[in-house]
Amino acid sequence: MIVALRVDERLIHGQIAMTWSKELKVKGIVVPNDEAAGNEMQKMALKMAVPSEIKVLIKPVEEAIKVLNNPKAASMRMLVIVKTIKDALTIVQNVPDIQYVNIGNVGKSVGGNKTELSSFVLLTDEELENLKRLVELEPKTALQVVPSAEKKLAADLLGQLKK
Amino acid sequence: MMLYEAIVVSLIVIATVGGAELLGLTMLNRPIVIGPLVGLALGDVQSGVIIGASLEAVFMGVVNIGGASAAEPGLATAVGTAFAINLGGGAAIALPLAIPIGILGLQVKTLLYVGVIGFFAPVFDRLAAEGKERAIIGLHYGAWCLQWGIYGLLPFIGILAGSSAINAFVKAIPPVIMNGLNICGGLLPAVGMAMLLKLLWDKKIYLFFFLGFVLVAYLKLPLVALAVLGAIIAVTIAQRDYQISQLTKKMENAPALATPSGSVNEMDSEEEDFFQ
Amino acid sequence: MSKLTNVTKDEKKMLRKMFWRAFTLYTAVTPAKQGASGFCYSMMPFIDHFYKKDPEKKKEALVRHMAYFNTTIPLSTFIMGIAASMEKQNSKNKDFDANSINAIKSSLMGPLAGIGDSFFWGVLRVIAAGIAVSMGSTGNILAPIVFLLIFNIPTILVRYYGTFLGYTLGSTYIERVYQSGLIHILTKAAGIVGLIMVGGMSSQMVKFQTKISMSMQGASVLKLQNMLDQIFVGIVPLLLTLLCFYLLNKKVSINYLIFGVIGLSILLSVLQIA
Repeated sequence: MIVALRVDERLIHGQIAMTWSKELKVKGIVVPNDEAAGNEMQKMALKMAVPSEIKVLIKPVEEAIKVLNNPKAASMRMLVIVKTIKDALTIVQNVPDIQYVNIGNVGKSVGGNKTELSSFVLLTDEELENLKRLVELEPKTALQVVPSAEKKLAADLLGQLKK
Repeated sequence: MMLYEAIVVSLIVIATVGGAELLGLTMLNRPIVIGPLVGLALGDVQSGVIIGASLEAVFMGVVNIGGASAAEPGLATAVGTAFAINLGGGAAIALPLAIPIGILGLQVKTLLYVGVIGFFAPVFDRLAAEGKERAIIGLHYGAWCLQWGIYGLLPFIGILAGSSAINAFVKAIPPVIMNGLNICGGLLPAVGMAMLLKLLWDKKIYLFFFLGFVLVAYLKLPLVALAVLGAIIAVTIAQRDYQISQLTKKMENAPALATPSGSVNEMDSEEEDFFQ
Repeated sequence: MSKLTNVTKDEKKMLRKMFWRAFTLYTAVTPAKQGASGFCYSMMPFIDHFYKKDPEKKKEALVRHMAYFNTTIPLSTFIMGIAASMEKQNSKNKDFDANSINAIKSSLMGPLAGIGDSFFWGVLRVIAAGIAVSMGSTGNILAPIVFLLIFNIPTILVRYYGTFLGYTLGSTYIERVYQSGLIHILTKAAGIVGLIMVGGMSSQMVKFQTKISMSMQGASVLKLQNMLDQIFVGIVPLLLTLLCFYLLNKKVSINYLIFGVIGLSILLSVLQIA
């Protein structure tokens, strides 16, 4: 069971290890990310950040989709963390029953012209399009940095942009 | 006299709250440090220490992780302590003043951070691209001066403008409310402790919380002794854990005697381990 | 530090400079880039040294280290050390992929922040503050000094040795520490000390005494507080702490909790319970 799919360019870090994983009571964290999966050092570092009772799996996006569709996944509370909204979209298109799509920290580490959706979410035009499509599939997609912060529906923020 | 106080307290705020940003995570901005400093400046170190300690107990759970916070304890302590010493009221006065000030302080801090310093980010980028090292260093420290110079105005204005109002207000507090505030000083640390628990609570080890509680409640163990005892327990457990992990590693490396073959589905070992 | 033998005198000097500069990591913290300017400033001794003759490459390096950076400060010097050793390779080796420097930085800063936040904020500071508060509440003016020493001595040592470890051992070190499983063992051990301290502090710092008493035929007085103490010493503080913890987990905001406790205290006073 995927309790949340989070977009966070820092992948696993303090906010994940300390707040989200506890809040959502997850047993496992899946990180679908092509780059990280190919880099042993980064894999180590990511696993290290998480409390030992939580399992971490870092896989290229396509393989991760297979894992998430594994029947065994249904009985395990999982948090999925992707780096970009594009990856989130790919996952949503290929994996059913995601309970909550969460946009955390996006866009600070990429350059170029960006639209500011909130102080934590800065989107390039391409990512903005991806977000629009994501919202069509998952209307409840929301921006929320930590569980104690306010949840803002992405659809509302996108709506305000048009004005 | 009021002017002196206003200046000194705002200098303390700049040196501690700003200093904590200048010297990164040195904990200069905690109530237990600021309370005594304000006490020293106003000629009553003893009260400053006591007020600082009781505010520290309340604000102990206020941590700043990933930008998520509830109040700014530094400004709260500085102004709260200054008023409490002036009015001779002790921690019971400092507390109700400190909390709203702390919340206001955080708002202003965030505002400065987003609305003033935030604009320097692209300037830094440009300077780096042009290779202007000196300018980067100048702006690096200049931004600090600007941000904390503005923040330092807060206690200055607060003390100058608010003193008579707060004085009148505190004098008007009826004894039954005053007693309530005293009780509150005893009960509020529970919130701070709860926030720390949220940070540390873990199913495998939560029982140690109760161990600590009982040791102090019944044996009246001083906290220094408790810290040493805790360290000894932790080291012992860590040693055992390490032995166990070495053992399991040996077992895993040894040729598997009878592994029930899991080749029915095509999971690799990593994936299999994940779903265990 | 036997591994330091292959570090030249110049490098040691630069590493020390970096260690001092790293204190100012968040001096000009911005929402968009966090500690970028501090990181860049700390790297300057190395950038100046390695790219002395190549102003273009120097500019590139400055831009590279003006990138978003955010981690727990005491562990930042370790990452800076790694970054500096990679800059050294980059300056020598034409085929070196300079992008990998920022890739390593960003892959390390998240996880290290996770570990660092829980250790430095959750454990070390709690121990230091706990001891200092119990000293300070009796008016002992050494309390703030003890607090700063207990927190900062280990922290500054970590910063100092982290600088050198990062530079000499680099990323292989992380791999080894992880593979030995040491990190999880240490995190658990630190958590145990933290929880014991929070337990002790809850008992010492959360205070409650009820005034309610029943007088029976004038003479013998039955005090409710004594009865409570016979059930369990500190039962009210314990239950209140756990209640707050429960409410926090139920996402009640901290400010509501604080004002709730203030209201409760005044109510207790008005009802003459305490």
